[in-house]
Amino acid sequence: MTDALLTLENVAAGYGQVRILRALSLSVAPGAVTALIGGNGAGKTTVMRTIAGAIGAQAGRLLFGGQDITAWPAHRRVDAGLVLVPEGRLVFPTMTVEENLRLGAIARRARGSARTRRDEIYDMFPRLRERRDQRAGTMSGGEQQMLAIGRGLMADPTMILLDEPTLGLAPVMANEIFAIVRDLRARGLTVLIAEQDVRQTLAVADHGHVVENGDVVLSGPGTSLAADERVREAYLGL
Amino acid sequence: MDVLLSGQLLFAALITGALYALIALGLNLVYGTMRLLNVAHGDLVMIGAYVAFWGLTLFGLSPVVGLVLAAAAGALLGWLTYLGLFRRLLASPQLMRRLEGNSLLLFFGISVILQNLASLAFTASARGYQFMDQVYRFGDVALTGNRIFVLVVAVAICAAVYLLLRFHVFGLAIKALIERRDAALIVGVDIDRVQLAAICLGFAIAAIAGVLVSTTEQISPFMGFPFTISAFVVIILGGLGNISAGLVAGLLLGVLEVYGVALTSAAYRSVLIYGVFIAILLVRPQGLLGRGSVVR
Repeated sequence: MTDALLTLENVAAGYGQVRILRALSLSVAPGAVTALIGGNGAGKTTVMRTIAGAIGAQAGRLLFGGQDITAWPAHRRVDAGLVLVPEGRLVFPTMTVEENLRLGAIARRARGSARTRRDEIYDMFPRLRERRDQRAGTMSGGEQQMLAIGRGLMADPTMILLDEPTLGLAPVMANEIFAIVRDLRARGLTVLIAEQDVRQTLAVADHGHVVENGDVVLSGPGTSLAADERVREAYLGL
Repeated sequence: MDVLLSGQLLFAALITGALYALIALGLNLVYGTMRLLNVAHGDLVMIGAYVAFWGLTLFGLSPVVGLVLAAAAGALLGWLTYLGLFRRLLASPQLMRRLEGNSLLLFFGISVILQNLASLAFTASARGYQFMDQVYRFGDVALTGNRIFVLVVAVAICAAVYLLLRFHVFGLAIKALIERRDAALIVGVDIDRVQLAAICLGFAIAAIAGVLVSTTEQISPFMGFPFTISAFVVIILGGLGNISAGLVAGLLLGVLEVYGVALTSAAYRSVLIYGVFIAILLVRPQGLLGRGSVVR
């Protein structure tokens, strides 16, 4: 995949002395949904946070849209259209839904069109419009996840990173989130999703990477990964 | 009893409270965004006071001009402190974990340096000047012009910062940083720039407060410490990092102090302030007006 939107080349990252990724490489095709699957502690969240710039890469290179972003601070990556919807949602709990969305559009690229985009997001998530003046911390997990995705979309991303978006949600709500992922692709966004619900994730993903011990051990189209013997055994319980 | 119900005392409480709120506002901005315990905050008040004093005595500049000069001096000191000391420490997650405690020591050192530089340069003797000391009467309330000046400027700046935080996108970024640093980073807040702006603004506010103090009281190189203490009492009363609650808490401390002293005697002023401090820490460590519980 030479025309990938995002490429990680031998990236090493971790927290302090603890190195979680040693030399991870992967690429994400534009306009597609790419999945990262793997067990707890495999390093999926570290990959996501390293791409977003929330933690720095200790070695290797990250390329986004042809530019080397390895040394860029997080806000500059957001400004380039690379946006993370973090694990645990991380909404601003004492701020209202509306203020959370406004903060999503703090990047320079997004400020001008923030109002129209906010209305689009309210159309996409009518429940957020109903609760626009409610404090984010008082909403349910599913509503907070919608808000976190809406906040990410406010930055006008070309690529959105969804880290464990269905974690802790009821099955009905999880289905809704997967429907949103399909919708985002239909709108032309590039999506990288890390999930523990492997079956549903591979059903929406065009491409997938299996992460184990901080490394990509298997890559392929979503359907063929779902049929792979190792994946079926380890993650689908078949 | 009549004294307690008088408008005179009410205004005294409002003036003291507005000044406390203003000073604490600067401290809260710096603590909230960076978790820096600035025990030199009162010394910035002292510097602002000397800027106004020398501006007037050497160049005949009105303390109104002094407000602008002091704000610039405060912002410059904030800029130097940030770039020289804290930027590198704040950029590393490992160093940042110990920064709250370390910043206390660093600022303690800065405080000692500022006090001693000031007493070397200006001598340790108390100084003062006259500004707007004619008396105005409103009904049974008599106020000197300089105290009205203090009240108006302090309220105006508190209100301006409150509105900035409430409505401007930059204020929202400050609030985001105070509330959830990791999330602020992720949504694309330029944390380095917001931190620099917060420390410049916080220091400038302290220096402005110093100008206000100098119009009504004598100033000396060691005048800062009581202001540091009252500012810490206020932000603990309001809940650390909670800016708008801090404004209310400032007024509250002003009322407590002025009415407390009126009921007892001026000798009990410190007892009252430290008493409130200890009582809050014992009974409600998350702050009288704070929400939720203390995260430790």
